[in-house]
Amino acid sequence: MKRVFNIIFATLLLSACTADLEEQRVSVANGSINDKIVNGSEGSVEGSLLVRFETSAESRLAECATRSGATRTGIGGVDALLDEVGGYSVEPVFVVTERNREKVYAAGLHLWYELHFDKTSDVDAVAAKLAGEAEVNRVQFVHRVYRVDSPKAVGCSEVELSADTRATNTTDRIPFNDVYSRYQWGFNNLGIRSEVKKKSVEGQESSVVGADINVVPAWKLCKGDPSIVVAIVDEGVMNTHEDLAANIWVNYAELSGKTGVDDDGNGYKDDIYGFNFCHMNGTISWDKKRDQGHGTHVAGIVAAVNNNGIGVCGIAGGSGNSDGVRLMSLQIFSGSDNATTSNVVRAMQYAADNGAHVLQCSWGYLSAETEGVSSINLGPANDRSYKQLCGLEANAIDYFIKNGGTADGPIDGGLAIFAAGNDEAPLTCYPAAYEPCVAVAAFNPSLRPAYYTDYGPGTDICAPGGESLYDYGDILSTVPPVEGLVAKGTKCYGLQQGTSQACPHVSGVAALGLSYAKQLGKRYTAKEFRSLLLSATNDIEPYLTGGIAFSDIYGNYYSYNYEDYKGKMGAGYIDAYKLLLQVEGTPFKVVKVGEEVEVDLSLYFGDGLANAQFLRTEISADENTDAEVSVGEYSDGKIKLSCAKRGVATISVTMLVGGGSLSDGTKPYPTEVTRKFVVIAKERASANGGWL
Amino acid sequence: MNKMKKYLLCILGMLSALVSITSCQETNEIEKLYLTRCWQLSSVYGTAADVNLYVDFDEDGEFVICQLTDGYTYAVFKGTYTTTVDGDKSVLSGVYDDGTPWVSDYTYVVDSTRRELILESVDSPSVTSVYVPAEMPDYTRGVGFASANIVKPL
Repeated sequence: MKRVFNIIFATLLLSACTADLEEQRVSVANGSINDKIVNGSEGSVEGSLLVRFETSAESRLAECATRSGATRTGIGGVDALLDEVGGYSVEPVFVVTERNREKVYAAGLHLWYELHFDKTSDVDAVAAKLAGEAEVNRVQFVHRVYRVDSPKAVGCSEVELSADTRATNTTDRIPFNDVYSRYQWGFNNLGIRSEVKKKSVEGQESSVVGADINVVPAWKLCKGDPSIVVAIVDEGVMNTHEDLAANIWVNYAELSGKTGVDDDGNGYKDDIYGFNFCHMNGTISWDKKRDQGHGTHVAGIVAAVNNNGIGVCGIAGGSGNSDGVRLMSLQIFSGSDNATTSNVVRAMQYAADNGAHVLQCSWGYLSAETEGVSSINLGPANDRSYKQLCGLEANAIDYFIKNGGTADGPIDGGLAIFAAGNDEAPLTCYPAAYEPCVAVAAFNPSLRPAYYTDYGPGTDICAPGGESLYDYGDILSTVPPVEGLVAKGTKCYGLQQGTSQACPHVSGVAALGLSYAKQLGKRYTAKEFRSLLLSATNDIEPYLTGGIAFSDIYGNYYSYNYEDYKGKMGAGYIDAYKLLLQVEGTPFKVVKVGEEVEVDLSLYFGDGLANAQFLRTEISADENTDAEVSVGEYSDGKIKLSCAKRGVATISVTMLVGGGSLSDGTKPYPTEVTRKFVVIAKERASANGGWL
Repeated sequence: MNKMKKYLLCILGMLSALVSITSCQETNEIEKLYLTRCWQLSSVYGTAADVNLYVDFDEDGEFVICQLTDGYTYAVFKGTYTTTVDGDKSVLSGVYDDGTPWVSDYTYVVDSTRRELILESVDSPSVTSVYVPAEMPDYTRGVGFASANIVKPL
C-alpha cells in the first residue's frame, strides 16, 4: 500500500524532490488506489496529514475552525479514527480572520485541515481510512521543503571588491553612487566587466553590450515606491543589512505592539518583518549553520537601497530617500530546517493577506525531464499533474494571484514569479511552469542561455542569472555574514548564479513597473500586468548560435549547443524600460477611413514575438462610435486592418508564449499574453501622422 | 434734422461696431490665454479615449503635439498656431514645422476654469475632441520601445 511517490519541495532550484509522479499518475488513472490520496508517504512528516473536506462538512467544521487547540473535527467517522490513532490536534491550514474570511471561503481554502496524531501510527493506513470517509475530498501527506545542492552550483563567495584594480569605469551610466554597482552587469552590461575565463572553456563568447535588463533609462521614470511590497519566500532576509534595512517591510502594529500578541489581528504574533514559517514564529533568521544567504541575495537584486554610497543597487531600490519598494521576508528555509507543505502555503496566504504585490520564489521541484535522475525524484510534467499532486500549493498560488496587492494599489491581485530551474532540462520545473505563474530562465553575460538553466515549455521569459564561467559573471548582491560565506570583517556582498538570481530580476522589474503604475494612478488586473511584463522583452534568438564545452574539477565533460534553445526561452529577455513605457499608456493609431494599414505586432509584443504563437484578435468599441474595424489574417508577425467609418475601437491581440499548446495537456500550458492598442478612424488624416 | 439724425445713427453704429470688435478681441485674448497650456485628449467623437495624446500651446503661438504610438514611442510634432474670431466663435489654425497644414481648422472653447478644451472641426462640425489639463511627458527622454535596448548580435 505504501506508495513510492512522494513530493518534496526542492529548493533554491538546486533542489530535488523525491516523488514517483509517473507511478502515481498511472495508479490514479487506473483507479487502483483511492483517488482521494493525491501523493505518497515516503519521506513525509510522521503523525500528520492534510485533508480537504467536502463543502457539505463546512458547518460542522466551523466550530473546530474557530476553537484554538481543537482536537476533533465534528465529523463522526473522522473523529472516531482520530480517537483510534491518538489524534491531538486539528487545525485549519489557512488562517481565517475577519479581514480575509470572505476571500478564503471563496477560494475554498477553509476546507483544508491539518490533522496531527500519534507518530507511531501507520500514516498510510490512516490516510486510507480517511479517504474512505464520504466527507473527505482529498488526503495529502505532509512533506518538507528540502535543500539539495546542485553539484554544479557556485555558492555565494566573499569578494573583496574594493581591491579590484579595474574598479573605475568612467562610462558607467548607472545614476547612483553605490560603489559596487559597476559589477552589476545584469543591470548595465557594458561588455567590459564580465570577461571570459578562457581556461578550459571552449567556444565561450565575450560579454555583450546591452545583455542586461535595461533598467538605467527606466530609473529616469521611476526608482521604486514604498507602497509596493515584494514577498521574498526563501531563506530569511537579513533585515539589518546595511544595504537593505531601509527597504525592509515593517508591520508597525506589531513593532509597536506587545510581544506574544497578535496586535494587528492578522492571525500571526510578532510578525514585524514577515514571518518564519520554518519555526512558526516572528523571528526571521539568516545566519544559521547551513544557511546560504540565498534570501538576502535575492532580496538585494530586487531592492537593495540605491544611492546610499555603499554596496550595490536594487532594481526597485528607490533613490536613497526611503522610497524603494518594500521587502517582506517569508522564511521557508532556516539552516537545516525546512518548512512543511502546509507552512509553505501559509506563507503564500500571508503574502496575499498582508498586501504583497509580488511573490518572489526562487525554488521549485526538479524538472520532469532532468537527465540522470531517478524518476522517483522528478517533479510534475504538466499542469494537470501539478494540480492533482500538489493541489494545496496550486490553490495557495491561485489565492495569492487573486487576492494579493492592496485595494488602492496599482494591481488587483498579485504576481507569482518563480525560477525556471537549474536542471539543464528542456522542460521548466514546477511551480514555475504552472500557467498562472511567471517562469524565469537565465542568461549569461554574453546573452546566451546559462548552462544550468531549464528552458522549453513553461518558460515565460529570461533574465540575467549569471554564469561562473565568466570573470565576475555571477550576480553580485547582498549576503548575510554566514560562516563560510563571508569572512569576518569583510563586506557583506557576494556572487551567486542560478535561475534563483534571474527570477528576482523579473520580480524587481515587475515591482518597478508597479511603482510607476502607482505613481501614474493606474490600476491593472493581475493578468493584464502579467501581459505587460511578458511583452516588455527583447529577442534573444539571434544569440542562440554556437555553443560551449568545459570540464569540471572532477574531469566530467559538459557541452551545450545554443541552437537547442531556439524558440524555447519564452518571450525573450526582460526590459525594464519597455515595461515602464507600456505602463505609461495605450498606444494608438490614426487610420484613414477606408484605407488598409498593416500593423507590426512586434511593436506591441516586444522583439521576442518570433517565439510566440498567434491566438486571437478581439475588437471592442462603443456602439455609437464604432469604427467598424475589419482585421485580416495574422501573417508573419503582422495583421492588416481597415475601418469602415469614423470612430474609435480597441484592438486586443493575444499570443501564446512558453511553448506547448492549450489543448495538449502533456506539457505545461503556454501563457496567454494580450496587448491592446486603440484605433481612431478619421475621414481625413494628416499626411505626416500628426493628430490635428 | 434728418442729416443730424443720420449723423448720430452713423456715430452710434460706429461706436457699436467698435465695442463689438473690442469685445471680440477681448474674448479672443481671454480664450487664447485659457488655451495656452498642455492638454491631454480625453474623448473623441464622444467616446472616452484612453490614450496618451498631449497638445501644448504656448503664448508665442507655437505648439507641440506628443502622441504615444506604435512601439510605445512618443511621436512628436511641432509647429505654429494662430487664433482668430469668426462671428462668435474662436478658431484655431496651425501649420506643422514641415509645412503641412493641420487637416482642418477648429473652433475651440475653453471653460473659464480651464478644465476642459473642446475642439470641433470647421469642416466636419460633428467631429469633436475633448481635452483635459495635463503635464507634458518627457518625450525627449528615450528612443522608445522598438529600439530601447541597443543590442546587436556579434
